Amino acid sequence: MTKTSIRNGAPLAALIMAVVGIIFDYITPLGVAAGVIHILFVLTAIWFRSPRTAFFFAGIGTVFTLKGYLLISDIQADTWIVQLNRALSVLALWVVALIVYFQKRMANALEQSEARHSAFIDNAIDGMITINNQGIIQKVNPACEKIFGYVAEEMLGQNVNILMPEPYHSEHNGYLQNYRNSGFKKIIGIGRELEGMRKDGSTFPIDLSVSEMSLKSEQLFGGIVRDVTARKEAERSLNRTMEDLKLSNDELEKFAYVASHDLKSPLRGIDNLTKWLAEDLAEVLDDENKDRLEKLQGRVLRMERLLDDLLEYSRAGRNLKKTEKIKADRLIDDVRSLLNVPAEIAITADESLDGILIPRMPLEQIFHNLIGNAVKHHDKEKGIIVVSASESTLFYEFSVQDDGPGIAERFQEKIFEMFQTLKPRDEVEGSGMGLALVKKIVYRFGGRIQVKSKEGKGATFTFTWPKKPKIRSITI
Amino acid sequence: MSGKTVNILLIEDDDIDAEGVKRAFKKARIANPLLRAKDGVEALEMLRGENGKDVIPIPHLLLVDLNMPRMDGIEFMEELRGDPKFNKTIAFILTTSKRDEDKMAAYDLNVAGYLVKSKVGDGFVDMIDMLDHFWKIVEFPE
Repeated sequence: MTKTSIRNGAPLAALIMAVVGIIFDYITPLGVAAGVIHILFVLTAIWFRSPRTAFFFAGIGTVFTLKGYLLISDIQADTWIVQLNRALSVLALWVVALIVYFQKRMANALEQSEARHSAFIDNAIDGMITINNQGIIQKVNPACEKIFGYVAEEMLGQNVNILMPEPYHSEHNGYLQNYRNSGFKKIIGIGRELEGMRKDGSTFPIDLSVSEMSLKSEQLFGGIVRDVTARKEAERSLNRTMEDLKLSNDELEKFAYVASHDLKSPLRGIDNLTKWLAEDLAEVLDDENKDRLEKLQGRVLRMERLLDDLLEYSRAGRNLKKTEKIKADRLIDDVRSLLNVPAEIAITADESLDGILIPRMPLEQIFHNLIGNAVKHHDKEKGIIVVSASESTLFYEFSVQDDGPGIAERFQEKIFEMFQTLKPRDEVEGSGMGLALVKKIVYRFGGRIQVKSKEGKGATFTFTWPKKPKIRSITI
Repeated sequence: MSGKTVNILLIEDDDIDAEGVKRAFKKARIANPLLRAKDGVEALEMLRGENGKDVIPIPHLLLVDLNMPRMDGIEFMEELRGDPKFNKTIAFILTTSKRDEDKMAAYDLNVAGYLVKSKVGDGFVDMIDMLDHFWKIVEFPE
């Protein structure tokens, strides 16, 4: 009989017991047996859902018992005996009700927790399998059916190795035996990535975790199976993409290196030839043609600079692991002396730089470009460039602020691209690689760079520099 | 030195670089004979007098480029050092390559010096200066 059929029969049983009790009470004048029947009536409360039914039935039983006493006048015994009898019956009724009440409450709680557990297991996305220590499947949840393509009945009672491809299929019994004999754990208590096999024989990657459960005399193992086909596929495709990206980045850098290196040699030839022409023809050439030759040499020089910068860009952030650390304010001093700054422009290292230690390379390269730009593009008679810093737990933030011409908002992204200049190269000499190089280095070491500027009101370049840089192999 | 004029053999595939060296010699008014081979194979022929070429009289000094067609500078030096007649010949490497591997390989073959084209002064001036002193001071092998 199932629980529900008992529940459905319960009211009928209770009614029968109640009626039988009353009738009995009438035909047994002493009322002795009636009390016993009423107890049976209260006991039927165990089949009802609510534990309080027991008290309700005990109340009815009490009424029946008292009624029997009041209605049946033809009594052949001493009144006190009858009264004691009735009183004891009522006490027994309530004691039984109390016991039924607590028992019922415990049973309800157990039932509820069991229902929760099984709902959890039945609705789980992961497959759950219980096997005994011989490897025989004791229990599977619905997710297993979906994962392995069997219906539950096909799996129950089978060796769990039907769900495994070779070599696990053949070796699994051995694992279990080993564990029984020597306690050697191959997977128990640990999670592993393995392969599962569906009913149709196809295999797929799974995450499996196995735990041991000891229930009284029984030794069971519970396994949780997750189909990780999608994750594996995603991992593979991510890895492929990463590899491709790395390859194409490497190739690009190699190309830039080779190109700039190989392009320089014919350029040197042109440079030499021009120089010799200028030397040998010095007396013959008119001023116009001398000027042309000069321009030719100027262009060659520019091309060489472009190639140098391209080369530097392609190698940015490489082989810089062993570099000395230097105080930030010292570094700014060094950059200032390298830059050949006109006297009208002051470069100030703010106090906030004091005490900050940074690797000379590549930060010298970064500051050289940022300060160099500020100097090169300055358009007023006097100027001030201020380098400052702030600090958070993980990063330093450096700023290079100038009071030069500023950069219009629509160009503020473009300036970080390769070969971008905002002025003709004949006006302001430059390859347009400086900020691209700075951005690449900063990104490579895990920092970020941005510019804040308004046209005519100077510009501030700010970049973050991690205190513990992690060099990325792939850069944007 | 022994008073004999040092013959210079420039082994260089690039015409412009060769002309540059020639000009530098002229500018410095150095009258020593300057001969040129375009690669290692031609240089060996000239040194050995093979293939209808005249033997270059000793003493001689070689200026060897590294990257050349047919036989590059390192291969040429290996061949040269393997020949008992030339295993003591004074040779300088004159190249664009700054690679450490090239440098080591060259010194393994007992070159007298490794010169990088971008570092020998504008128009080879410093190199000429050095060579001019070199053959005045240094005793050449007989």
